[in-house]
Amino acid sequence: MKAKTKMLIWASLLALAGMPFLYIGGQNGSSTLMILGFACFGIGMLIAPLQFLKGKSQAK
Amino acid sequence: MADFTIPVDILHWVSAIAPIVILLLLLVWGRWGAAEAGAVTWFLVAIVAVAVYRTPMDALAIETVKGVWSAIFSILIVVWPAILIYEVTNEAKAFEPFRKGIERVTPNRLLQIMAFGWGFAGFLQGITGFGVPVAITAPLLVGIGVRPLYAVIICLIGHAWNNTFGTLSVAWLALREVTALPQADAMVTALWAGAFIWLFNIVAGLTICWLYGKGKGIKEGLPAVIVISLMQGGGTLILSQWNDGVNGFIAGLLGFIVIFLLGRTSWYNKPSSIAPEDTPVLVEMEAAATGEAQGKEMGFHLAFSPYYILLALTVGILLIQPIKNFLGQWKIGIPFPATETGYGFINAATEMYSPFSPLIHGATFLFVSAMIGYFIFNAKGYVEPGGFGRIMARTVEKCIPSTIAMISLTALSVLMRNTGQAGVLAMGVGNTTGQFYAFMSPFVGVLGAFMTGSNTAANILFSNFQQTTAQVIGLNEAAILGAQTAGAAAGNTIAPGNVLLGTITVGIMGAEGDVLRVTLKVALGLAVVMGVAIMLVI
Repeated sequence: MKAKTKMLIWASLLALAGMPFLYIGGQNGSSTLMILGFACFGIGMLIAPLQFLKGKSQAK
Repeated sequence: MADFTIPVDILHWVSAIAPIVILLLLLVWGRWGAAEAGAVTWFLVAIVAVAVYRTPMDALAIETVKGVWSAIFSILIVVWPAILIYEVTNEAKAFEPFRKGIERVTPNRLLQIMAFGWGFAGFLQGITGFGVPVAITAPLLVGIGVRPLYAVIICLIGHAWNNTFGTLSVAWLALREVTALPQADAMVTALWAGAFIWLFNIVAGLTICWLYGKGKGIKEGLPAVIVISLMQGGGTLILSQWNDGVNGFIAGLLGFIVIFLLGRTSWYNKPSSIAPEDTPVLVEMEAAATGEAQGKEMGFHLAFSPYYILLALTVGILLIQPIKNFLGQWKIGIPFPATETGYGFINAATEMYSPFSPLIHGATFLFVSAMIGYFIFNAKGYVEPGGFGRIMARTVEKCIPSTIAMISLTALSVLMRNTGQAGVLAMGVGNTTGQFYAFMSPFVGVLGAFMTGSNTAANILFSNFQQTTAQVIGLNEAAILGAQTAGAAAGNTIAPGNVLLGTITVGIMGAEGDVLRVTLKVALGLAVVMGVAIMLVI
């Protein structure tokens, strides 16, 4: 399995891991849980574009 | 949208359209993949939601979860078994006998491509939807030698005409539901929708011919386009006055069957005049020798067995209402509380958001068909030792990376819809164009499908708005609503989620921009033609 694929797997898992925090945090108005949820989701989402840009700059 | 509470001004309109423009720029011109562009765009949409549309954090959290839920249980749930059925067929080397079988129907490669990418895709859309037609027919096209990029483009264009009246007319029924059209008005609207869909259908056929061989391709494919579109588009138009439920199914079926008859005519019972090496659509067939080298010749019907099972399950369950109702009782879904933005834009609480019905869902049919197909191929000795492990490994390797892309695209579209950004975009167009709105109405449909990936969702989102705008400006309501749903059908060809579905299943993830470069022209070109037609007629 390619390193990029592995990284995307981790990114997906991280983004999904944020869901219970966002769901419970959003329902109960818990800022801590929402911040935790957005952190997981946001980092998971950012991995793909960062990896892409890194690959582009390395190619140059 | 009468009680729309968000100011429709330049700031709100531009801030809502900006992320969409950036998404398209990244995909089409920046050559970014959907995973990268979608993730960046989600951040932009979230920032706009909070900073401009006054979305509180709890609403942002809840709407994000809704988006992820939709991504998994509406789209990814189809992608995974679709890849599995492809890998099962591939492992058994069933595509080569499959291709040979199709050659016996017609040796003409252009008609073969139309048969799968237009006829079969349109037929599948008539009964299933949910992306299944693209997920199934794109790999089949690759299996008969079509270049993956073209396979995705052809399937996207070839199935979308049947979006409104396909899937047992769910998109059309949604339009009727939200607009509360009286029966007589609904019949006139159906006529307009049917006429536009016929136009779309003809354009789809001609586009496939053009891609295959430019002017020469159109000349060769024209008789088939005329006959097939008479069945599909003409059938849709006539049936729209008779039966909502099975319109798309019957039109799709007629269009598919007539291709077998066309294969026997003097036009198509010989190879295409365009040599395979002269068309960009076809690729050299490497697999051609493998089946024979093994000395085991699989028959066409055996090669097609997973797809026969898929058809039997789909038709047998979805078209027999008592069975469908019985199996449809079991649903999986989670409740969501109501959310409200600072502008008072409310999304009602729901006890079961976007429920997944596992026993009547296309994903289940795909999975069962793939597994039975595997057991059949294995029992007949067409799967080599270790085959199951290889199938699963390849499936996982293709599936998992697509998850993040699909999540980001769906999450951003749900966020745009449920924070009022989508509404502002449509109302901004309506408020500023006046009588010229007739021209713009199909573009609103395109926009709805682009953002939601669904004709049904686009109709739910914008039909009421289109109806109200037509009434206020004094335009022909039936024509505007017809353009809404036909525009939404065309918009399906450019919805990032749908494009991604195709690129994932044929293994060219990251090439979404290349697909969009073609489908954008088709969808926007169609919207222009529809808009001009309405302006001329009303």
